[in-house]
Amino acid sequence: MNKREITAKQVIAAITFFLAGSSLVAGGTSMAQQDSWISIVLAFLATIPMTWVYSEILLFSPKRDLYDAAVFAAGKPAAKILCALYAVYALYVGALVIRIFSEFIHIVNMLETPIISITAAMMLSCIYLSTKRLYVLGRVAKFTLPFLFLSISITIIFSLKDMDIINLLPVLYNNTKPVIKTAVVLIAIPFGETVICMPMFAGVEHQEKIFPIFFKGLFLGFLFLLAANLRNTLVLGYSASLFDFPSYEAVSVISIGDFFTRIEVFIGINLLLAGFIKICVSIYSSCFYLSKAFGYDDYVKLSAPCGLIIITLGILAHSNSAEMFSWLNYHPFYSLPFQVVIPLILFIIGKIKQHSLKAGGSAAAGRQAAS
Amino acid sequence: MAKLKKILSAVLCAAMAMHLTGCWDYHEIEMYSIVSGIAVDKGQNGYKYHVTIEYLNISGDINENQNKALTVEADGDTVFDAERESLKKNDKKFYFSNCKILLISEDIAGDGLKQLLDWFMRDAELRTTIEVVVSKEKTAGEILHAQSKNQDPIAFQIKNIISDASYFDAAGQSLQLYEIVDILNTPGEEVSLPGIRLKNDNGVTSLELMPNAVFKSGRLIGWLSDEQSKYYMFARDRINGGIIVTGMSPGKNDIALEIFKNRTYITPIVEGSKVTVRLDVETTAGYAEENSNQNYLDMYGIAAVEKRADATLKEGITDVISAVTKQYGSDIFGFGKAVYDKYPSVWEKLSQSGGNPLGKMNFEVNTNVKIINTAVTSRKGGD
Repeated sequence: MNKREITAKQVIAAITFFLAGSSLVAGGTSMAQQDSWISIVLAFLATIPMTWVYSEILLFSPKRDLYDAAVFAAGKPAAKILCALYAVYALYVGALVIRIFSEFIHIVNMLETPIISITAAMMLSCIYLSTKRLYVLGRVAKFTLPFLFLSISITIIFSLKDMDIINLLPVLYNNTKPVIKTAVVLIAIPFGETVICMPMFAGVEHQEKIFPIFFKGLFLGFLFLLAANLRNTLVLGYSASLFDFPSYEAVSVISIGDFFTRIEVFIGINLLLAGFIKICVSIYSSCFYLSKAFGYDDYVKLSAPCGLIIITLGILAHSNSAEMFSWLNYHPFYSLPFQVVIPLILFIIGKIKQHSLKAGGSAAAGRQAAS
Repeated sequence: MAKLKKILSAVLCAAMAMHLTGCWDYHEIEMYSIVSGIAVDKGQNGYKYHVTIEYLNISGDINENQNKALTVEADGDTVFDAERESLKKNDKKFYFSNCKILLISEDIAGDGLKQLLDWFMRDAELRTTIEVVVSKEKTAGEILHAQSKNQDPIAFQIKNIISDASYFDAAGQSLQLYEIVDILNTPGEEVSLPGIRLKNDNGVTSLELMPNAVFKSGRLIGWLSDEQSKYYMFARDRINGGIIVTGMSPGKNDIALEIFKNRTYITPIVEGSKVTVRLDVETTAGYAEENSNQNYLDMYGIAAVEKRADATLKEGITDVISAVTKQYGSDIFGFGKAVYDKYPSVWEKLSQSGGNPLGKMNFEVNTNVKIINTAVTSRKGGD
């Protein structure tokens, strides 16, 4: 019943949202200042080969089932342990997103509302969506993607008159080191996080190629991030690296005449859509991994517990917003093993096995022909 | 059992619904005093700051002679502290999202903008588009207290004066908060903010926009003159409109050209160790007034008038650049930034070798005034 739940285009939309997610709103890339757009491009380029590795890993399994692929490459016990680890990772990513989400609302709009009630209200709908299976998640993502596109385009068009191209100069003067550092942070969050999208492919038509889907989603998300980043830098200049939520501040500068002002709510819409879908994907993935690790047939029943864990983790993870934002700079140490090291090892072992199987297979065929 | 389940889930639903109404931050507009402007002065009685807040008077019936805005003031060790202190004298909490103007006194500006602006930048309610103006009165607060002739909130009046003046009089244009923070953190660029003062004509008080103040490293160090302020705007490419007054012979100012459009291109040129900043001023203007008994257009032709305007403009811009370089050594023009953007290593050398980087640059000013019409008459009236 959970076969072919989702079409290729829906997966692309989900990956795009997943990338745009919290990064569209929160900055966290202040080191590179006016060169941060270069970091985004670098991070994108560096992630492309990784998504190819992810797609190849999925292809180990004819059903595109990540667990089967891991079993093929590493054996059953190792696959179970890996699934458990990735479940924790997916839960943590979800927790970080919901934390940024609630911090944003708490700091900017609703000072008196406790964070727990903001997150709970959000999580309630996330859990509901997750229990309706991947099919609904994909349709919601595909349906709402144009709104994300629209809101970004509108804010860019209206802030054109406040933009100053000089804000991008001088290019790469402040050493390349902060640019590389920022790129590494960006690989860890959000580009490399696409690793969490892998389980979704179990529901896609089997004749669809995986890598193009991954790449299209990655590329669209990259475009959104780049556009938003350039808008912020061009409008705010140095101040863009100062704010925790630069998009919000950049858009708040917009004023057409005296009446068309204060359209920051667009940024709220971005956050609501993208954050929502990112959390849903995280819930879905953690449920998928958990169900595989502990041998459940169906993941849906795990949605609510996973959602509740995400809420708790989100609140416990950081004691204040400054800590959360500075943690983002150390995030790579935590997440790169999940995004790069483990997939690479799986990929290499799997490829070797595939080769030896093929060689073994053809040798056996040869023997058969001879006898 | 099934019935119990139903009842329990109904109770649960009701309990949840109560938490999802989203009314935690529910506020009525009449619970707030909407702030239109803030003035910050040196504090009294040992406090660091003295803050004056102007807020809108939104009581139902405002008759002719009632002010549309009220003020309240308080002291505090930080700006926010003073703001909250002022609540003791006001029955409603202040709402800052509509605050348009931040007025600072000269001595506060002299202490530096960086420490002052932090709260304005950090607080979520204040907008980063708030404009900053320096008071030329003894305190900034007394400007907000002024009983002006049309009773509009003083902060809104200041905002209107500034935007009108920049469009029609080539006068001081203020900077928005985020622009100031950007400049404060950019190498080779300094802040310059317009001044404002009260003017008393026969017992009627009005506001008057003053020339720009010169800052260095975020501290106020002096003022430009009226003329300098105007040509500073040309050098800074901030002209939206205004008048160029010129004459057919030097010192004779009897022709007024109305500026329609102006663009100033700043190009740094590096040749060896010599740094030259070239300013190309492209102005489109109309022949708006000829205050003389002769007929210049017939006598000299438009091209000659254009040439004279070029010369006037060039002289004015060159004067303000050399005066600021000599007197203040503060790069309020952003020439250093222009060099830094294109030749960062050259700028590094300029700024590190000590002394005033502006003094080590050469300037070349090219002006090109183009007169595109002579308004509604092409001949002189009375001829």
